[in-house]
Amino acid sequence: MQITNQTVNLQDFSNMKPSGKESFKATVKEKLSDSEAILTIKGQDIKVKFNGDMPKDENIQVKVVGMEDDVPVVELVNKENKATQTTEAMLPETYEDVEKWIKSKNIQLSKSDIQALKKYLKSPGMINEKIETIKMLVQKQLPFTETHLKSIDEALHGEPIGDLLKEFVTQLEKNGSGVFQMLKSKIQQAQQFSTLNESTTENMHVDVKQQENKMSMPTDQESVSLSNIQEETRNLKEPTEQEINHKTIAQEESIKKTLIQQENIQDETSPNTQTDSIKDMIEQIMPLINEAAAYISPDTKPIVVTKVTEKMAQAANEFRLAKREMSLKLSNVETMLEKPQMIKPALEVVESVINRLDRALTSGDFLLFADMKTEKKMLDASTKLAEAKQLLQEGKKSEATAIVQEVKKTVDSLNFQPADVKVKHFVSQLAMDDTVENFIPKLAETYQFATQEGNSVRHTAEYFKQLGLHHERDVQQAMFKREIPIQNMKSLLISLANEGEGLSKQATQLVANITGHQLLNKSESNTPAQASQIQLPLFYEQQIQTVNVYLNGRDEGGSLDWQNCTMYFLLNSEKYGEIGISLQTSNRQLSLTLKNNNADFQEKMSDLTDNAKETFEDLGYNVRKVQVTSFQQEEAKQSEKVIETKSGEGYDIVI
Amino acid sequence: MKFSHQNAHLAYNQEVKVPQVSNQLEKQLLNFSHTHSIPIQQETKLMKDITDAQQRMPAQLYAVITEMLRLIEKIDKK
Repeated sequence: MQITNQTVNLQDFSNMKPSGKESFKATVKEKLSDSEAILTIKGQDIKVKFNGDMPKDENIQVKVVGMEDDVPVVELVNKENKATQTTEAMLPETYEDVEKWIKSKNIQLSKSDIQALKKYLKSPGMINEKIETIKMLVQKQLPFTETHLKSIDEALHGEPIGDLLKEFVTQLEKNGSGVFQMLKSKIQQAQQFSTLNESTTENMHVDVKQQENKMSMPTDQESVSLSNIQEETRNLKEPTEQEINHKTIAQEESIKKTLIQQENIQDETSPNTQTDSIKDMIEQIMPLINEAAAYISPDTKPIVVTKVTEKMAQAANEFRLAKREMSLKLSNVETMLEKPQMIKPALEVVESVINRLDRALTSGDFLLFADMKTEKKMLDASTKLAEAKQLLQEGKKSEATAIVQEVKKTVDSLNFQPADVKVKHFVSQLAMDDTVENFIPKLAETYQFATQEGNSVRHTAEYFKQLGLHHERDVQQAMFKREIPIQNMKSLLISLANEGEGLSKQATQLVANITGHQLLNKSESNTPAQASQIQLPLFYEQQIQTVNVYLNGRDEGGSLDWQNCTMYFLLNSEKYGEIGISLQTSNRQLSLTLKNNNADFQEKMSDLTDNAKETFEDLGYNVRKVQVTSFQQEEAKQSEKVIETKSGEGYDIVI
Repeated sequence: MKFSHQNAHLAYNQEVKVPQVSNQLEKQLLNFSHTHSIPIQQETKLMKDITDAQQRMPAQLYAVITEMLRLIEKIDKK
């Protein structure tokens, strides 16, 4: 398991010279003797010798005081001293070292950088954690502002987001908000949505499908050349600064206005037909919208119904444009592949279709409503095009052409068919005002909805969006599109933090956590190897937990290469303690490892891994191995691998 | 951990350039947010790092994360 940040820590830990000053947070995994134990530091197990008392607690703080036979000798650090420990005493020496090291990386520090660094190093906290924060800023090429330092520090060393949210909810509850009850009911409501059979909508929307077919059938005039498509694509992009400055943004738009807007961007060849088709489709699904809004209070129902209808009209049009753009581009790829000299341009167009599919899958509004078959077909299309791209790079033109033709057929067969569960979920979310009290239950509902069987990409991306992990990017997009962005948790928390009273302290901490993780997701421009990490709150069985997700992979045109990457999920379960799930993919060959030290974990989990093969193969991976093991066994196996001995341990289920 | 040149190479071998911040778009974004009362952190340097410079996650990885979240819930319920 190669997790860059963790590996760095481990290397630092094992290579450091004992100073007796720095300390580490650790968990005692196993006591080997009266003086030796295995400690887990940042998810990695390290054998140590204790100088003095062995720990009684599981969670401890240790400092390294020596080395014996390459094994670190550690001493317990009194936890009570932790809060009062500051770097003040060691600042002169340490700060000089820090500044020297930063400058050795050819980074010039401004006066304000130096001020911010000094302030940060003087603030309460552990020196090794501060150094880790500073190293991360250097790695991510971030400026040394107070906000950057504070945010990265909070993300790396602060309380997990789930705990922060729990504290936040508790405070809200003390104010009599009734948030606990709302949280409970939203989780239950989302679970009820999952019991509805999505396929029941199929018959109901036969007419919708017909209308959609009518809308998405390309006309003769639509068989345009690549240059026309490129022109069209440019037209679909963001408006210019001038346009933004000269137009105002309407917060509430009626259905009529929306339809007029849609008409303006319709194909010039048949504007009336297209608008009529959308109108017809809206009429067809009106009963479904009304059904979904049945439990909403009569006062707010008309507003909600108007908003949903408007959104559906926009989604239908967005779907039509995306489908047409992809279909025409794929037609052009087919034509281009007939000429040997056009392979390189064809490859670029394939890449642009992959990006278009990706954009639709992760942020397309129509997938908030469309049935699961549509999302699955689009994901398959993206996976197949990645294969075609690979084949083209290898010069295998005929195989690539066959895939492109197959994908084009898939794209042409796509239909916008709203699913009742998704419409109901959307209505449920719209019916709740964007207040702080409402937002966590709303988030919990989205989490539940995203993780139900059948749902996959779009609603998980929506969960990230609602958390505020894309807040600033969303505002930027809204600015380009002359819209008002939808509220998310981060935007609400920023407002609360700015109020400077009540819950502002907790809000500030949560904003720093989210911002820190956004910064950890920044591209590292001078290397193809990318590393990022996120923290996600998990909402289930009326609990809020946290999972840390570490991602490492190659940069593939601004996004991580899903075919060659490493993902590591780490969480603390109340029932089982620390659980690690590692996924390693190399040329789509996937290995999955579940790690936990609980005695009966391996046996209990064996049946869960049985489903893994099918699930991941659906996503385009070939599953090589699924195994359940303990942290120690995994560590031992890796060591044994190094000295080339055979492994006899572990509970391997080879598929 | 002793912070020194000796162990600095462990993590960072390559030269790191000073981040070049072009503030025009970020300023525009802050103005837009101010005009429309959209809550946002008021720092241009921060804006660049959390808008354009963000690593994108492809759809397949969102799908993997969804599967893992489901698996975690199943594990905890066992």
